[in-house]
Amino acid sequence: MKIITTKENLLYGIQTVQKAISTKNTIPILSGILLKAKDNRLFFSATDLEIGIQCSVPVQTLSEGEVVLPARYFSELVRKLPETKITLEYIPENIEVKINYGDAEVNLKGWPGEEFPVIPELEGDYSFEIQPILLKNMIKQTIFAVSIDDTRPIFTGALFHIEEDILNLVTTDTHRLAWRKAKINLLNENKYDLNLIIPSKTLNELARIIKEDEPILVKGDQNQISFQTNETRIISRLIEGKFPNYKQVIPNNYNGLIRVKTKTLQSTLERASLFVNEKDGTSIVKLVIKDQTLNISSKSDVGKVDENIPIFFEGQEIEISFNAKYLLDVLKIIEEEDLIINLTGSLSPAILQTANHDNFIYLILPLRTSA
Amino acid sequence: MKRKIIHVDMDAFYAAVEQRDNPELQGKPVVIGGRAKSRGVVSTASYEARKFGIRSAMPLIEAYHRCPQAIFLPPNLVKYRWVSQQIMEIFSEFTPLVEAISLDEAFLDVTGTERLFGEAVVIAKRIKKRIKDELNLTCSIGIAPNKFLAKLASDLEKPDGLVVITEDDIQSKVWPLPVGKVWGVGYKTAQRLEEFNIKTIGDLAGTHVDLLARILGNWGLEAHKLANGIDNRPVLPEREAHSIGHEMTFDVDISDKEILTRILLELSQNVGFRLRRAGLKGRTIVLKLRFADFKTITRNHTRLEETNFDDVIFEESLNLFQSNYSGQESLRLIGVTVTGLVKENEVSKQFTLFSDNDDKFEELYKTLDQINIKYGKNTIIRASLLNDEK
Repeated sequence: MKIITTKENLLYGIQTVQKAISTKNTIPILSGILLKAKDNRLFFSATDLEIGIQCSVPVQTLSEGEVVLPARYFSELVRKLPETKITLEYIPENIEVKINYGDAEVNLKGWPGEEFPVIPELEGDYSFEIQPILLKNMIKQTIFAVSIDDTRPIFTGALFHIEEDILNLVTTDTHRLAWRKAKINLLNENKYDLNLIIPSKTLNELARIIKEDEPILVKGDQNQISFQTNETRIISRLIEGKFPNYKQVIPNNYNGLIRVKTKTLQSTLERASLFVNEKDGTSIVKLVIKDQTLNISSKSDVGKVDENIPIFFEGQEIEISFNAKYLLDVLKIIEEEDLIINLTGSLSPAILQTANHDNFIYLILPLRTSA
Repeated sequence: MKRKIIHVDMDAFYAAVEQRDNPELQGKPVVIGGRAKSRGVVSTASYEARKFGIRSAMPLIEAYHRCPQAIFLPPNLVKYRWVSQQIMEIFSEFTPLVEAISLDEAFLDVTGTERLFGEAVVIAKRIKKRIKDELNLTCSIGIAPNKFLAKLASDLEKPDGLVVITEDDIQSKVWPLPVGKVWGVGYKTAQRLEEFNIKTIGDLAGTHVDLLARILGNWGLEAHKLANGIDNRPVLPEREAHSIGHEMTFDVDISDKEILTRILLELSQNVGFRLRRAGLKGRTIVLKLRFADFKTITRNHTRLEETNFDDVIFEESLNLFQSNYSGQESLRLIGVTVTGLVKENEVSKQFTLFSDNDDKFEELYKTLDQINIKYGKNTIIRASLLNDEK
């Protein structure tokens, strides 16, 4: 393998695949990046066997071939290279790569390319297309609610529930739930009713690296899923298990409706959550809704905050407490000016939506405070 | 100002409480720890049983061989804790500086209380009288200028003793004692010291600190100070509990994962029970393993939410156990502790989707605890623990 390329292209490739590089030391070659030169493109691949990422950049290929380089040294080196023409050549007898820039030369030992695990092409029981901007938004609007506690692995991932041509993206840590709907473009005639649980890391990576405008092709089976565009491909294992019926937990009837300015509520909550409880790091806010006023208060050993916000309110006077973080996480990603909060009772879920969209819905469970 | 420290040590506490409450046991050898031929160790032996050579921490089976006619009883910790509380209350009437080091032992700092209650000796006598009159139990008391000497003193004339050690007595009363009496000098350390011909506390006091540092490491300096009667540790009044834990030392090292898992369950139950009795919940579960070669590791996991449920404590400690114990080396001790404690009624309850109902569990535990308090520990236990009770 021998190619001519630029620092920028190498860096792009490394940064795209780097999160898939294994951080465990069990299989040494997985701490490397596979470089493969073919048809004037350089393909980068990395995998920790849970997630695999592949991308390619244009290069001038003098001879085709492949090699695995230790990711840490290779990326450190590339970062420190000058902005000049760079030649990479694989020397099979030494299992090393010769990197030339200007009249300098660096040799870096690696592994033969054929020893790297193949990142499979999935045939796929299902396949559909989705717009990259849309998918990125959907991820951003739901990923914060995944669980970080791996005692129940299904909640550390996000549910893709595909009903006909609707993708329901659902996340929950059992204290709150985020549900975002969108239309997808099905690529075959199958009747879809699929439940796939995708690790949150995969979706975070997807949101990070997808930059192109063309639709993302999603396909896979019950064990693996892949997302691909012309230049980039992510393949990930799915989390095993059955996601509970999320639709069932959304209340049908409400007995209180609040309409409030998103930003006003957000700033108030940010102030109210400043004085966190030292013991467990959570800050609890109490909401008292009465007439056309929302009173928000919080207190801890450090101090207390008490504010009133004018709102539109329909329903009976109510008092309800929440973990402030759960409310703020939602408010931070809502761009609409007006927020609707539906309440069913002091000890029952609150539903947050925006005034103009019904394609996302947030459910937050309250706290019963100690006194 | 010279300090006046009192160390109170109840005489054969567990056994004495049982004998007090059951006239049939009085004057008889009583061994608290468990059934005669079971695997456990002696927790307390009555003075009558001690005449047969039965000592604390001795395997029950050995105790049985020494004195087959002894009465073997399982410990009733709920009762002992209750009596202990009554004792501690008596102490606290004399000084706020009471440090309970176990159910049957405490330090009292009575420095400067002479005008209020009289000399330390007078206080000690009053404490002994009150414990005898009100609780019908005896104790041994040591009085000294520091904790180390006070504890040595209380041990000198057991049972029902009262010994004062002043700085002038160190040479005559303390130095002739074997080194094993020094805090932290166990059987093995004592053996090492004996190799250097250090047999008494006086020998230890006379040994150069450099040599002690070589024999005992960092601890050498500390031991040297203690031997010379120097101990500046303050009496720390009972703080709010920071952790609640239980551990079990095996008389025979164990590597059988099934047995160890059962012990974990038992320990978790004990910890959960005590947490609930104290009205506490904790977030961090700590597992302690001591291997046959005395190497000790502790591993912990912090949960997102506080708990005091046996099941959760067990599940967490079992996870830690499974990921930290290969089964190749045998263990001599295993322990479960919950830390990061908060008062139960100060924990806000975050409601949860898709989970078993916690409230049901709360009710369940409340009921179980009530039954076990009323009818005795282990009236209701898990089926998997029944094997032990054959």
